Amino acid sequence: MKNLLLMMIFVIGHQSCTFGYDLGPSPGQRPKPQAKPTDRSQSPPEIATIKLKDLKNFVIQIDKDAKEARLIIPNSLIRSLQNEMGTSGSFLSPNLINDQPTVSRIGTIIGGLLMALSFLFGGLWLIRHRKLSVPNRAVIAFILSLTGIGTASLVYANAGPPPEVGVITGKIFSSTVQASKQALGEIRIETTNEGDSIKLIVPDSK
Amino acid sequence: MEVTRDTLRREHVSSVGINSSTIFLIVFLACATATAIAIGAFPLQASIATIFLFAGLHNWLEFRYFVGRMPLRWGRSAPFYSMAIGGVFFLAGLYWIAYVGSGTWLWNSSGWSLFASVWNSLLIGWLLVLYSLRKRNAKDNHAWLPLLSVALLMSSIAWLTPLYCSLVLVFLHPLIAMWFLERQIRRTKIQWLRAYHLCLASIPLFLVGLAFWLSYQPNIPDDNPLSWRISEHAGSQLFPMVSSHLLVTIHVFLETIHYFVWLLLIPLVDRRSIPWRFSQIPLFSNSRGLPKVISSLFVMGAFVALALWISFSVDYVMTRDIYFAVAILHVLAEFPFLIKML
Repeated sequence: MKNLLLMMIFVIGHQSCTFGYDLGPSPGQRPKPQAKPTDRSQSPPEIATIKLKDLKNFVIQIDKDAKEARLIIPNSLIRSLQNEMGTSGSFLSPNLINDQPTVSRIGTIIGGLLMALSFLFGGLWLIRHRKLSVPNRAVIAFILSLTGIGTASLVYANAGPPPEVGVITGKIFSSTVQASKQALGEIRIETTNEGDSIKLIVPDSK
Repeated sequence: MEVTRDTLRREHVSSVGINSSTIFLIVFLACATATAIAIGAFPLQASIATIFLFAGLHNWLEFRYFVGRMPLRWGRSAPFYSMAIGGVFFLAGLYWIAYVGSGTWLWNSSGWSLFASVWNSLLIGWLLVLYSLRKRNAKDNHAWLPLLSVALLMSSIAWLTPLYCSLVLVFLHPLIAMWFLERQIRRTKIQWLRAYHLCLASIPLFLVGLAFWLSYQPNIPDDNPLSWRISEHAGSQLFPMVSSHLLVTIHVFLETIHYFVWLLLIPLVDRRSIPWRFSQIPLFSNSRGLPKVISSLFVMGAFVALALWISFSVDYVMTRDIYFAVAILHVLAEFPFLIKML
């Protein structure tokens, strides 16, 4: 009992110390989430769309001589965009910008404390049950399997995208990148006085 | 009368050809397959139709089942039932306060997260106390340690990912009905137990099949309040990377099984739960019972179910919202009765 109390004091003390560390940006710095589980007053988020009268085409060009991806925007369109934004406000509504839930600081601390206590009591139970009966073995096997599946899921979920996805080249049209449903990478944005179309030039890497 | 395993074995040995459990298995799998395909093809329509048809009705049948299970005198179970009923109304009350107050300044994003964490932790604590009260005479005096450990771990997750935990309850609720049915089959139709376990084992396969079929489907258009609410209820906002078509399909598929468990399967395996057999309800039929109160409650419940149908016809979106807020009562009420059956 004494050991149990000491361990609990240690755990609580350790968790309290984490309060002083920087667990992440303070709530004031992070974007505020808008997701509400049962908010009856919610309605579908609206996208503020801007229709550019002067934009005729969007051209994607695969260029074998290009060294990097370039997005070329005509100056006339930029002026038009500035004018439109002046009347329509932002491209995106706040709902779209901040619709991802985040873990609050207090939630992290209490969650960590509870998890530590959970492991503490779980460990105590294992120590007190050195002779494992068949059902207990089954429970442990189940927990181990669950842990394995959980770890595998975490690893899989956090695995990086295929290399093709991380750079904008002609491969963004390949089936590999299409399966990822997105491609990301560095791009140079240029302006031009010629034409009235936005042009995306991607290197033709094979 | 409970059927023993020996009886089951004898019946199994003496049976010739297809027995009732095999028929049950085949019918279950056939219905589940047809349901999964239909819902996968028309998830929105299926969601609207199933809730319209079965929401009120299955609540009435659940209430009928719980009243049938309530003993005349609580006796040594008085602390358990007091805690159960008190907990149901307390947690439901908190939930309703949050529902009524939604949209006010109090419920910004962090307010919602905090509320969800506290509510989920209270739910876990309540379940822990109920289970302890149920098993307080158990021989193993160390059993509370693993239980406490699991409860703390679940509470920890509730604080770390509060909104995801709330979504877990949405998907967990239909599975509770399947657990109920398992316990009921153990009591009154044990010859179906193996077949039912196979049915249960098939559910993950159905879900995997749906995931393969629908994971690349485009999201359900959420350009109107109803489809947006249905998608959001299934977790589309929390899982933007998963097709909302798939999320809604899985949710409706599980809910449909849940409805059919209460509407059809539980009355099928437990004759005491056949809706019109009021004589099987101790609180109604016994001279020491409360027949007037119980019959009034049943009549009132029937009126509510009828009113629900009318309201759905008049304003589906608003009725759906109000229904899911009120339905937390039956979600919570299932837990104590399930624990009592463990």
